[in-house]
Parts: sequence; structure tokens; C-alpha cells
Amino acid sequence: MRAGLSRPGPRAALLFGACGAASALAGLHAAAGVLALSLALAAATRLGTARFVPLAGSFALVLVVAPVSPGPAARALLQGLAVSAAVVVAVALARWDRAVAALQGLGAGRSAVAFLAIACAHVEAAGRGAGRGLEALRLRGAFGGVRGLARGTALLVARELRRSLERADRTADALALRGFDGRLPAPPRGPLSAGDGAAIAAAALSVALAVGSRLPWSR
Amino acid sequence: MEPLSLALEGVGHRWPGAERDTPAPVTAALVPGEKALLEGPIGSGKTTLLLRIAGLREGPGRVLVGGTEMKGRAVSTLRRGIGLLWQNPDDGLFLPGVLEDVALGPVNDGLPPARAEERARAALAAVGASRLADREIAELSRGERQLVALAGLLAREPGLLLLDEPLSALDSAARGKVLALLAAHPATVLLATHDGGEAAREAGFREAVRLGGG
Repeated sequence: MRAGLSRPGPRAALLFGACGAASALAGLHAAAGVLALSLALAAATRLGTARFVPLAGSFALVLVVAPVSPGPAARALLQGLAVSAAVVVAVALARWDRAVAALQGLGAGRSAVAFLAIACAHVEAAGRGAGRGLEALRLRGAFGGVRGLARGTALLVARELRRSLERADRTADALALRGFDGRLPAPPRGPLSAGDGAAIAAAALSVALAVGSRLPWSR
Repeated sequence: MEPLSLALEGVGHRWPGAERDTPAPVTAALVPGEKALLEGPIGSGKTTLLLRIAGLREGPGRVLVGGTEMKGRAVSTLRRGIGLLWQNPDDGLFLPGVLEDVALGPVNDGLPPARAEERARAALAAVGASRLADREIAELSRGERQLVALAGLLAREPGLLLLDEPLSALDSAARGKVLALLAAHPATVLLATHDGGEAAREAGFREAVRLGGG
């Protein structure tokens, strides 16, 4: 990790992102195990609680609500939420361009690279916008009491949805003018420690296990 | 790239439901390499006019860049020579790292990675932001982001620069440096401002378009 970064680093992000996706894919028992593992890793990497909460929250949502959720559709929705939260947290924590550039290096097509890059950049910008919005609403007293919490949340969601659409337009315009054609510059190579390697391997293994457990012949 | 001429012939825009055009139809001409000001109060349509010139909005009138009308298939070719600095620099920034973002244009123009990086470093140096090369954009102030966004445009060596309030977040030293850089740059420059006209005039910019009240 380079000096001066405010993020916890790709190790934690990769792990939490992959674990979120894995838990949602693999079901409740795996989710419980992954949650415990994630909490332990969060403590070990001293990841700030504020950054960890959204992902832990999504796990908890799946764990607590899924058993009593009415039917497979609701359960699928919850699992989708967990995956989305995992992706959002991973993008917020990691240098997403490293992952996309790695895919580019492996021969991914320009349209795939462009799609992933635009999606990640958009998620990152949306995350920053939502953070600023939350702070602004808090400072204006929008979250006081139960009613205030509901109203503040509704305001924030509505604002971010509207801004997401506006941002999508501007991003498309800006990329067109900057000549973006699905090619990313190679990001700087960060020092990959033994711990990073182990974490990446663990994350890859958890995803592989999760996917494997969903395949028909493994049931 | 060679500097490009710019001609506007009755270029306006009417927003859905509006009773009048914002901006009102504009006619102006810039010769290649000219440094010009687009002035007007907030809400007068400066940004919309820049978007029209860049081929990002449609409307009445004709925009000619380098003598070719910005229309149909010509748009993507002409855009190669245009750099647009957004009023909110975040709108034009894309990648997490400063150096990588500045190199985005050159890489997509087909330059080899080493050459693209060289170009990006030179552009950062030109705007006085070399120290930011290894930083992340999320850590920068608004003024620093504005400099990085400008470097991203310069790295593609455009023939026409459209700048939407490029000085708004800069301190006086950075303003002077950026204005001097733009005045000496070979590209044609159209700089939109609602309050920075005086300093730009002193740097050699002339008023080309003045829009009415918003």
C-alpha cells in the first residue's frame, strides 16, 4: 500500500467483498462462518467499524431475516442485498482499477473492461456522494427521532437515486470527451505482502467453495 | 494537435418547458490559438453553451470546429481534439489514482504505457501538480482536483480547450499559474467565468461572448 492512502488496503477489501459474495451464495451456515471470520479479520486489520458495519449489516440481515422470510423470492432479494453490499464495500475500500486492470491483462475485452470500470467508478462516486449527503442531513438535524430517521433515510435515498442518474449522464459525457475506449492505464504495483497473498487466496477459496456448493452435483 | 478554430452561428438551447432560450442564440468566432472569455452571470447558460460546442447537447444553430460542423458522424472525430473541463472537477475524473487518471486519455489514444505515463507526468508538471502524481483523487482538495482534471485534458494535447469556471477553486497563486499556462498554450481556449474575467484579461484573454442574465 502506498503512503498516504486513507483506505485500509486491498487485502481487507478483497476479503470482505469476496466473503460477502460467498456468504450470499453459500447460504446461512457459510454466512455465519464468514461473518465470524470477517469480524476476526476486522479486528486483526484494525478496520474502522464505520467501514465494516455496512457489510456486517448485510450479513446480519441475511442471517436474521432469511429464515423467516416469506418464500424464495424474498430470500433471493436478501442475498442480492448482501452481494451488493459486498461489492459496494469492496469498491469503497480497494483500488478497483487494480482488479479491472488485472482482468485487462488477462485478455478481457475492451467492452467488458469499460463496463466494469464505469460500474466501479460509479459505485465509488455514489458512495462518496451518499457519505456527504448523510453528513449534510445529520448536520441539518434530519435524523432526530424515529420519524426523523425514516424521513432522513427517505430523503437520502431519493437524493442519491436522482444524483445517480445525473452522474451517469455526466460520466458518459466525460468519458466520451476523454476518448475512453475500454483501455485502462496500468495502476501502480503495490507491494504484495505474504499476508496479502494469504488473504487473496483465502478469499478466492471462499468464493470457490461457495460457488461449488451451489453446483448441482455437489448437493 | 494543431489549434482549432471555433465558430458559433446562432447557437442556443431551450430546456423543456422553458419560455426562452438559455443561452440566447450566440454568434461568435475564435481563430486558431485564440484565448477567449465566455462571460455571464450564474444561470445564463455558459455550461450549456460549452456542452453544445462539445457536441453533448443538441439545439438550434451551428457549431463549427476547425471548419467542420459538429454534427452526425463528425462529432466523434472532432471530439478527439476537444478538451472540456467540467465546473465540478469530479465529473471529469474517473480513476482512483492521479497519475492513472491523467494517463487515461493518452492510453486510449493508443500510446504505449511508458509514453502515456511520460505525457501524464509532463501535464501534471505543466499545471504545477507534480507532487500529486502518486496520490489518490479521493484525498485531494477541490482545487487540487481541478488541477488534475486540467492535466488530464492537456495530456491529450487538444486543439480546443473548453473550460467551465476553471479558476473557481484555486488560490491566487494557482490562478496566476494556470492563466499563464493557458495563455501560452497553443490550443484555442474558451474560458467560461462569472467572476474571474479581470485576471484572465490581464493574462491576454479577450471577451468573445457575454451572455445575458440567468
